[in-house]
Amino acid sequence: MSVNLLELIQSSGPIALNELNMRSSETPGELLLRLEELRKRGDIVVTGPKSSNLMELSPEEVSQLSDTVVELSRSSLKRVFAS
Amino acid sequence: MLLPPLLALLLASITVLYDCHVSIQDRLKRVPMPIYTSPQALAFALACGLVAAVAFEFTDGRGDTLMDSVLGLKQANPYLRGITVGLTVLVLIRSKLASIKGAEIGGELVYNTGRLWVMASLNTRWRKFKSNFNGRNLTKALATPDYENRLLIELREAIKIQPEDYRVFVEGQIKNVQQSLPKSAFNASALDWQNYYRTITNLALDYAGPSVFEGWAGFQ
Repeated sequence: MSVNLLELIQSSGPIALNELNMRSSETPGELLLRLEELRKRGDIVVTGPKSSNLMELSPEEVSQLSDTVVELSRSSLKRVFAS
Repeated sequence: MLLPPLLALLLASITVLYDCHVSIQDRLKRVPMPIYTSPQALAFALACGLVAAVAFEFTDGRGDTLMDSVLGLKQANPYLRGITVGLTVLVLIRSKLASIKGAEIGGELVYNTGRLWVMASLNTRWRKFKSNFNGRNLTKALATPDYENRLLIELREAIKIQPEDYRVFVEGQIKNVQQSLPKSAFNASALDWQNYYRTITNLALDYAGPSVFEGWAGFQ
């Protein structure tokens, strides 16, 4: 079921990649693409193991990585409160 | 007299804490954790409270100055003036002293920066809270019969007063999570089952708050 990814990250606070994968409507491949896109736009920050090369992660890794954390960037958080 | 400026300080601090609390619910779409437990939130509220206490000293109830008219509402009674200054000081703090091409500067900029600092710290605390909650209760959750159904009933009950788009947003996530139900037979020590339980627990905490577990025997 379709869920806005940015709203999900916004409402959950910092969230583990494997949990985000379960709660989002994207497949692991689509999720990585979207995350990379949001990261390039400066909307999110990804930290933890393998956070620098998201596109190289396999679907299995996406469903297992609990130490890789996705959260809103400070500028994105600022936009949320300014809107 | 010490009491009127103290009233201004106290009421301004409460107003700021309330503003931050409401912002989390409205903007982040999440059940706010008790905001008074955050040192950053308390420091920010106290700073705004101090501005109110100082602003009070610039009022005298005669209405001769802008501060007196806007914040003190020309109240002659110092106690009532303390209350009105405390409740209206955000007007002063958030006033846009100047604007360059739509960019905020002045009090609004300072206030928004402070609120952002509070929100960022609350985000970090929220993740830590959920992590600790799972650390304390995951074993119990995995041993609880019909845990998922019971928790989802409680979650839906808690959010039924929310607007429809909020409920649809949460429902969408529930459906997505349920599609990731491990295919293997239930095993409390298996990592995929632990991840599944952790995820539905966090989902319930995000949108219904810790009170969703009230009355659950053995949950801390």
